[in-house]
Amino acid sequence: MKKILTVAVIAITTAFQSFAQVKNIELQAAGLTCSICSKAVYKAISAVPFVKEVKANIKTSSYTISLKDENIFDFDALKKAVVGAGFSVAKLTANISFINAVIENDTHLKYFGKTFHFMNVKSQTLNGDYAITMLDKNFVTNKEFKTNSKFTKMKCYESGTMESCCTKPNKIGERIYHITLKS
Amino acid sequence: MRKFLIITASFFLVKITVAQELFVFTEPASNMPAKSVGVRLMNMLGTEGSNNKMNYHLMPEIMVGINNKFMFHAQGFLSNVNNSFVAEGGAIYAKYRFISKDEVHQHFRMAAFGRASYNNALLHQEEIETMGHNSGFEGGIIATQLLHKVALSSSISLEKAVFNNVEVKPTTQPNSAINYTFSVGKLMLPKEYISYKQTNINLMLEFLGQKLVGSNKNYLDIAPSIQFIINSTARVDLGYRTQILGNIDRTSSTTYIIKLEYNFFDAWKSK
Repeated sequence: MKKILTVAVIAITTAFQSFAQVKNIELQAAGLTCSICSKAVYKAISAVPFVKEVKANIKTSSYTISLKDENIFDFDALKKAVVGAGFSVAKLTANISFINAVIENDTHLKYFGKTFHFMNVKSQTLNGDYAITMLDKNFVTNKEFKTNSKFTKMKCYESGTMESCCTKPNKIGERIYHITLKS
Repeated sequence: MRKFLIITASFFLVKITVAQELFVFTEPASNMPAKSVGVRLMNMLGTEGSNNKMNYHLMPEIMVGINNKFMFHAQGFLSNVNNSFVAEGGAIYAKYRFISKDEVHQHFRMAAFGRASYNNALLHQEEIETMGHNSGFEGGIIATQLLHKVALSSSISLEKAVFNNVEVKPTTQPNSAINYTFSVGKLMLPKEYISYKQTNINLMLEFLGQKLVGSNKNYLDIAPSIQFIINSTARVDLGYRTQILGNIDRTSSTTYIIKLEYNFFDAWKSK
């Protein structure tokens, strides 16, 4: 019995390690003031297939997004929705549960099927809920993008995808989310 | 009675549009959201100078946001200028946004636009107006700056009249014009946004000018307006436009407009 339990615990732990648990996503849009514009962004985000619910803070042009499945998300699809509505993303922060994720500064981490590139962080092991902020182009203002460039020498920050300097040739072009831990 | 019914019906056909930024007499450089459809109904009243006749123009319009950079309008022109209320023509309009710089609560956009109009109404004026009077073309550029609750916009365009069906534009008057506009709008209420259900009130002041090419004829109009945005989807604009400078011959140098708009977001799904 003890053996079965041990196997079960290992299996469950392994299963959980391979998934992200995105509690919610906070997105701030840029380029708008009017309520019609804000509503257009709200409707566009709400129409993204993996989005369950959106709560808008009209005053700050911010949207709190919950997911239908905490393991299924795509930051690029959210950006595309905002751009489609005629505006831009000023900031995207996701509250994610990590289990034993060992991170190092300016290093890629493959986690629950996605590749993250941690920038401007201390090396540490993440256990629990953390707010991560996207640093990729078109997820921050152009000025912030330039400022953040100093935190890495890798070309993948420029392109948002795996470059030949990053890894094996067969992974070139794979999407990499460049993120930092929210201070 | 029939005319009255048509006019009344048009006022109450409230399934109408919303574009984004928000000027009453001019278009901004911003586009509608991708995959949205807007319906607009513009009612315009003006007194014809020579005989004090009240002219009524009705311009229904459908607007489609093809993607985030390109939008398209189709518009119909109806009026009672020639004594009975009839359909006189229509226009297609397209706008392409080619510069977009966004910050939180700010943006700068530039767009190019073009209009092609057909109209069979009799011509009454030297003024060239492809929205409801002349057959012809217009093309130009627009720049819009949003600074939190204030929006500024300016445009310049070239407008060219061709013939109106049976009537050829007199060769003695110019058939093209340079148009220029400057608009400023300010969000007055609510002071603080909490809900999409709050009615927004915007005040606008716009200047619209025209100079006929190859002539010293011109006008400059001032156009104040008030705008109500209801439920963040419907728009009601009340505007007044009158000439402050100029020597051009026009059917009406003062007009009143009531514009109703309604927007349908995400009108169709992506494949």
